[in-house]
Amino acid sequence: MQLRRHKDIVAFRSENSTPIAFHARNLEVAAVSDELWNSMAPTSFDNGFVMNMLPTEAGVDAEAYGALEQWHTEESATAKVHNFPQTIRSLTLNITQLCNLHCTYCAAGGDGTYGDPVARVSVEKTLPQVEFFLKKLTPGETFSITFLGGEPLLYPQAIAAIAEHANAAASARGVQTNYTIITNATLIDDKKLDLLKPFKPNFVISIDGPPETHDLARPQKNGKGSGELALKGFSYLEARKEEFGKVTLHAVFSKSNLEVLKAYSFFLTLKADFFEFTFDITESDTSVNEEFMREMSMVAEFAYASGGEAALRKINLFNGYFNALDGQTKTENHCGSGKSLLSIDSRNKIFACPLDVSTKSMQVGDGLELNAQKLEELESPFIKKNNCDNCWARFLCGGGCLFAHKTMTGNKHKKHFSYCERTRFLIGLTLGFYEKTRA
Amino acid sequence: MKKLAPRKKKDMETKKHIKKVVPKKAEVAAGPGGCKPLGEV
Repeated sequence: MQLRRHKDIVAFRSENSTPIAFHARNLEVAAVSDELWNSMAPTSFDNGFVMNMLPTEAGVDAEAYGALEQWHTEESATAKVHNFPQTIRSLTLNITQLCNLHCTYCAAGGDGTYGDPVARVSVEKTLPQVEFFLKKLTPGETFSITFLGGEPLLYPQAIAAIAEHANAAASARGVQTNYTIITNATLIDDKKLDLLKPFKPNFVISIDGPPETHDLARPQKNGKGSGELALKGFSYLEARKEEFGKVTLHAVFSKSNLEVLKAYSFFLTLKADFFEFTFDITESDTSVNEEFMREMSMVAEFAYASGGEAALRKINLFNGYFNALDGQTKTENHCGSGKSLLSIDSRNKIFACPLDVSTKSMQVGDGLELNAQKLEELESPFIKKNNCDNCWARFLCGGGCLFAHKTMTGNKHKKHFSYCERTRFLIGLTLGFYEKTRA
Repeated sequence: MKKLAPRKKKDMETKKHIKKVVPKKAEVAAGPGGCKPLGEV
């Protein structure tokens, strides 16, 4: 895919196809003429700088250049910045800081402990915390709790107790609740499902593909693969899927496994609502990054060819960008960390991001105490803090994942070029399909 | 009317080179997802 840019407009062109352009500020997508394409400056996905041709340069078409300039200066009446509310309406809870697996790319300290193993969260200390945040919501709003670990199903009784308490507190205030459990599925059985059924949780299942590829990065602590165990656990959930919320299959790809298309094909044989494909944030090898992008292109082509927009949008990444384009919502923040989302570790300390749990400097509270100054520091938009003003993808990317930036560069506001390149490529890929479906 | 003429010509030129697509309401609900949607509420 080739790329060109004219100020806040970027255009993409695959071989023998019509160029597709995107207006970064207005979130507008358009098919554009060859003359217009030729009047834009060549660039690449690893380049976030503003570029443009001069009207006097060779190959520039005066009329097309004028059209480009006019479009560039237009301000959309419909595209609006979506601000995260400064009210916490989503919590992640570390039910344990232990895991029965030892995945190679684990972001939780490498072993699910975040460097601080805790077998069981204190339910007694967690209930008042949940109530503390829930009470700040007004009737009709929704409060979400995501149960994390380690592996949260090592202590399912805590999930049930916390959800039961949250339901009672929410119901008294007219607040809705929803629950999500992020699990490796190896411990799912009918007994646990019976315990969790009253809360109809969503499940996010960490699975990297069929067992032979899943096992490459997701061994048990004894070194044996966990793929067969995960599939066995998942089969209990599949059999009772209608009793629970949405099921997402989440795969992580790294140097040891880059077979995204193979994972996608395998996922299609399982009962799930959504798929998520993410990249190992510790990986800096550009060839691995490039292979992941190639695989994602193949997945998108395959999905679109087999099921059109609906199939494409079962993949969370594409669905998210489609939603932003359709809703004309510009995001200035990759996530709601510290704004609408907080994370509570297994010692009841509070952090802005679930991945920062081990970092003392990132702690924003403890028990029922919040550090107002630290939370205030998190209020300004990521795209400002991360110097994204010149990037054409900024209002769809939101500045990227701060934890990923910190992991790669040592500074949460300093982006790694391969993260940005990958993000821009995936957005460009999505824009091509968006134009096809909306033209 | 005379004042509007150049603008109309300009708009026609723009439409010749730029065919914008029309957004529509989402047909497929967003999934609960992993990392990012945790904070999207």
